[in-house]
Amino acid sequence: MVARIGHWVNGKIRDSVYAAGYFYETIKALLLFFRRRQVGYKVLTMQMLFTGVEALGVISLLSLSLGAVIIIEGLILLPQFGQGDLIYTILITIITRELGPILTAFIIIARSGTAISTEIGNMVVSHEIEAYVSFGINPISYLVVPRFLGVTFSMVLLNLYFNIFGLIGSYLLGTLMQPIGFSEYLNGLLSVLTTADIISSLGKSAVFGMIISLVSTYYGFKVERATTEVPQKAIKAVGHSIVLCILANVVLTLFYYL
Amino acid sequence: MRFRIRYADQIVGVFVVLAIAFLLFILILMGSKQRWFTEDYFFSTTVRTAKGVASGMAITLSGIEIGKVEDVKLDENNNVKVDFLIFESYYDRVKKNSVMQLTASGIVGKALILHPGINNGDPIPPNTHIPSLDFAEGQKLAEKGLVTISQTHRSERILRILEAVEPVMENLQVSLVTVNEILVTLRDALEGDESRALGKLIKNIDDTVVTIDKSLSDTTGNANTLINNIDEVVKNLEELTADPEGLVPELLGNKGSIAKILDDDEVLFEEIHTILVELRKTAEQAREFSTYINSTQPQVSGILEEGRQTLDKTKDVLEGLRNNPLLRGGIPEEREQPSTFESYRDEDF
Repeated sequence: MVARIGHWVNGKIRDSVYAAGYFYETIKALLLFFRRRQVGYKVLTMQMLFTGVEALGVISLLSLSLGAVIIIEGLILLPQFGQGDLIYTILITIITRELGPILTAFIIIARSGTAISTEIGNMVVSHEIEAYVSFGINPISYLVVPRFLGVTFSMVLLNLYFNIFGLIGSYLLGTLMQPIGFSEYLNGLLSVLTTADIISSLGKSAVFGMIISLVSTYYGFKVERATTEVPQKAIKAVGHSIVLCILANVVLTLFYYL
Repeated sequence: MRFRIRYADQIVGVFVVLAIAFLLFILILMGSKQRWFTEDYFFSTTVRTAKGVASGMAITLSGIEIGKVEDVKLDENNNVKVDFLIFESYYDRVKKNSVMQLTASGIVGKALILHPGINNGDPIPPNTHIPSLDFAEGQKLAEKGLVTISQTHRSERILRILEAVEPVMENLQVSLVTVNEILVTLRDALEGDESRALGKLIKNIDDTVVTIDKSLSDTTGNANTLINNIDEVVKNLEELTADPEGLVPELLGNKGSIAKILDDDEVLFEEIHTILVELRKTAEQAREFSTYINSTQPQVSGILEEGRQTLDKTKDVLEGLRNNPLLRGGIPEEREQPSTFESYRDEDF
C-alpha cells in the first residue's frame, strides 16, 4: 500500500517536472519564433484558420442565443424590481467578463484541443517526430509554438467575436421586445463597461488559450508507440484542459476583485 | 486546393483585422464616453456634512453636469473636505469668487452646485479651495453680490416648497368639500328635507318619541284598570273574612272539615301507610325481575345469534339444493298451513 502510494507520488512528481520542462522549452522556442523567419508561420496561419475562423459559426450562434436569453430574462424580471438599468451591467458581467471566455475555451477544447492532441499523437506513432529530429528540426519550435500561438490568438479573437455577437444579439432581440435606440443601448453598455472588464476578458481568454494549447500538445507527445494510446491521451487532454481552465478562471476572477 | 486553404492568409488576416478594429472602436467609444482624452481640473471645497455626498457625485451648474466628486474626507476642524474635478470644457466657468452649494435634490438626495463668481477674469488655477455657502466666507461673497446665485436655484427651491405644499392644499380642499356637504345636509334637515340622512334620522327620532308616548298612555290605562280590579278583590276578601258565619271560620273552626279530616284517630294515616308498604313490595319485585332479565340477556342474545346463523346456513343449503340439477324440481312445493290462531286484530271490524 505504502509502496503503491510512493510510486504514485513519484510518478506525479516526475510528470510535473517533465511538464515544467516542456513549458520552459516552449517559452524558449516562442521567444525565438518571431526572430526566425521560418516555415512555422504557415503552421501558425493554418492553426488560426482551423481554431479561429472555423469555430466562428459555433461561437456566434452560442453568443447570439446567450445574449438573447439574457435580454429576455432581464427585460422581464428586472423592471419588476425597478432595476431595469441593471441589464447593461448583467450583459457586461456575463458576456464580456465571465461566460464569454470560458464558453469560448470549452468550444476550443472540444474542437481544437482534441484535434491537436490526436494529430501529434499520430505523428509520434508514425515516427514523424523522430524524422523531424533526424533532419535537425526542433519539434517544439515547429509543432508546438505555432499551435501555442495559434490557439492563444484564436481564443482572444474568438472571445472578441463572442462579445460582438452576444451584445448585438441581445440588442436585436431587445428591440423586438422593447424598442430602444442603438445609440441609447450603446451608451448604456459603454457607461458600465470598464477597461478592467476588457483586460479581464482578454486576459482570461489568453490564459485559457495557453492552457489548452500546452495541455493538448503535451498529451499528444505523451503517446509512445500504439495508436490505441491516441484517443486515451486526447481524452486526458480534454479533461485536464477543462479542469485547468476552470481553476484559472476562479483565480483570475479573484484577481479582478482584489 | 480548397479555397479556404488557398486563401488561408487572407481569411485569417480579415478575421484578425475585424476583431482588432472592433476592439479599437469600443475602446475609442469608451474613451470618449469616459473622457479619457480630456483634461480635468481639480478643486476642493468644505461643507458642514457629508450626508448625501459621495465619490462620483455630479457637480452641476444650471442643472448641467460639469464635474464629479473625487473624494470626501474630514479636515482638521472636523468639517467635510470635498475634492472634486471640473471637466475641461467647463473649466472657464470656475472664476474668482465662485462658491459651492450643497443643496437638497429630489426627495432625499443632495447636489453640489457651482455658483460662478461675477468677473471677466481668467479661471482660478486648479487645486484651489472654493468656499461653500455653508461657511461665512462663501456667505459673505453671496451677500456682497460677487457671485451669481442664479434665480433658477431660488425659484427651484420655491417650486420644491410649492410642490410640498400642493398635496396639503389638495387635502384641505377635500376637507372643505366634506364640511360643505355636512353643512348642506344639516341645513336640509333643519328645513325638513327628509331625503338626506340627517333628515331621516330626525324623522325617525320623532316617530320613536310618538310611539313611546302612545305606549305610555296605553300602559297607564291598563295599569289603572288592574289596580281597580285588585281593589275589588281585596274588598271582597275583607268582606269574606269579616263575616263570623262565613266559609273561612267554618273551615278553620273546631268542627270544620279540615279539623274533621285531621282528627280521625290516625285511620287515614294508617290507610296511606299500608298503601305505601304495598307499593314498596311491588317495586322490590319489579327490581328483582329486571335484574333477572338483565342477567339472562346475554344468553338470549346468544340464542338469537345462533338462530340467525342457523337461518343463514339453511338459506345456503336451500340455495344449493335449488341449484342442484338432480334435485331441481324434485322437491314438492309446500303448501302454507294457515294458523288456527287468530288474534283480535285479525278480525274484521
